[in-house]
Amino acid sequence: MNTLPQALQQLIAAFGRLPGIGRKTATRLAFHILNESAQDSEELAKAILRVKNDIKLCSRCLNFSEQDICPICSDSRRNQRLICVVEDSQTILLIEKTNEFKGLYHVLGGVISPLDGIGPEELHIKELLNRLEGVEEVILALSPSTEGEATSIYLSRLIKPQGIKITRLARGIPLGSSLEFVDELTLSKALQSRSEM
Amino acid sequence: MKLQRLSLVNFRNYKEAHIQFFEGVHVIYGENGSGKTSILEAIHYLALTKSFRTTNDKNLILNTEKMFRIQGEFSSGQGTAIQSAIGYSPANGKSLTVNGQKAQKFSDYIGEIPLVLLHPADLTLSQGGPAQRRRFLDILLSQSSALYLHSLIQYNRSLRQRNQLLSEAREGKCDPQLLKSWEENLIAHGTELIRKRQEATARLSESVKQHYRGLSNSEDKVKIIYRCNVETQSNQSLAEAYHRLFEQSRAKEVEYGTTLPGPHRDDLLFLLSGKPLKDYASQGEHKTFIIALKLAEFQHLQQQRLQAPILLFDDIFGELDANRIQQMLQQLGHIGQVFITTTSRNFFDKMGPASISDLPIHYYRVEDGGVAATEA
Repeated sequence: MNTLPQALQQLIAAFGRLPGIGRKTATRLAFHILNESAQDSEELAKAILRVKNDIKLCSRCLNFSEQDICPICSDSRRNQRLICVVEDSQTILLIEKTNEFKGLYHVLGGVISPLDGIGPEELHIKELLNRLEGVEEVILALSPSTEGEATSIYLSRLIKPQGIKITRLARGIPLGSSLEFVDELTLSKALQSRSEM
Repeated sequence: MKLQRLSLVNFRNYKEAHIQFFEGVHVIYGENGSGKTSILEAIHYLALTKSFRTTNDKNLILNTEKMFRIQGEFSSGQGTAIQSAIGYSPANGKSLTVNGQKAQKFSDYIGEIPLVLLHPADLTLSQGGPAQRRRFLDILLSQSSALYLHSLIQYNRSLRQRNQLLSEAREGKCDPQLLKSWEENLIAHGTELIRKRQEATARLSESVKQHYRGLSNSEDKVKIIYRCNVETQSNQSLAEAYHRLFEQSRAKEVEYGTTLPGPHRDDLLFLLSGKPLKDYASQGEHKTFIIALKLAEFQHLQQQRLQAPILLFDDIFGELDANRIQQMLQQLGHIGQVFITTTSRNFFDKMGPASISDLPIHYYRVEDGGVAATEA
């Protein structure tokens, strides 16, 4: 018999729907909220609502943003002729951390997968094609899965005829690792995309 | 490669079993339905992470249990030990542990324990449809090259994606650029598959020819040809020919709703004295050919993985006479370890306490989910 008050059960169920959270963790989180001060809970609830109400997609790169145009797109110091295409906003965080990329981004919102009903119309591909004027290079930073590959090929077929340079991230040996610990597959890809010294 | 210890929990009709194995031949005997083949199936599952009897892993779980687990201790010719365990439950799926470490990708592991299986279904290999022959090549090559397995997985995935597009195209919506994008994926992985299959077929053909001659004591020449639907003209690379074939086939593909060119529709052609085995060979010749093919598979894997594969013979005494089996074992020379299931041990008893090709024989009696080693 479930003796928990219904409000608590609802909260547990709501946490349980979040990614990476099982029933045990959901229960722990719910009890934590029950025990914390009313002010803390209010702040959490407000933060969740603010995220939902105030955050929209940047009208240029489709990254999450509080403004109509995100801080990256409106930063005039960044190279406007260079666009890096990514699957989601989380990849932007990773690339920004490197401090190596000073161009703009474009978030596709996924990769093409007919089996999942995802075609070019479901992704922000039209928006990308509409902002290519004056762009010199498009870098494709999609995951190396079958679907990521096909999406990269599709984009390059659309963009290359416009005379724009199109590149993709190199694949190969992780830095700091010894060759003997690299699997055959990675090593053979690294051989294929070797570079001249 | 040698299996030293096998443990089963809730697998088929075994509640719990721990079996010890040795060098040489293991004869596993018992009534029909007692669980002989399940032991071979468990060994096969440990090596290839798949059963040869079912594609639905749920069928492998004992009655009302919720999961099964198979564990094996192997030692390679070079003396390294491999301990692998596979667990499966419908709720959590399949998980593989190798030497205590959870394996992320099964494809890195397949081939570590090379294995050759001969079971009654193989005897239709030379007479049945092309899918069976492609499967034979795929299993052989996946065990000998991790790159092949990778290409195969990627190829099949791309194929399903493109077929989905084609079936939608039939309803009128079709973006030709999108179709072509998946084609490039298919060509990249497909050429890899074709090259490796051609290479392996050439080697197998040579080896099958020798074995067939040894087994049949005749001068009949057998040959295997890889029949590829992507045909290259002179001065044309495989990828170019492949591209061109796609260009020519696209209209038809939309009509049929499926991808036409590529290694998923290739075949192996078996020839005996220049004529197709399928149409000309006697039943006896078919059987001899299959044995020669299995011997060649064994040799190929042995050369690629630098150790003798584990051999599984499942219930083939009804199909093959004792003479053929003895011949087969003799041709193998340095066999590592053999597992044979049979309903009666008569054949082995008749040979006396001696041995096959100087290999020691061990007997295991199977009775309703229990295994016991018995006297020789």
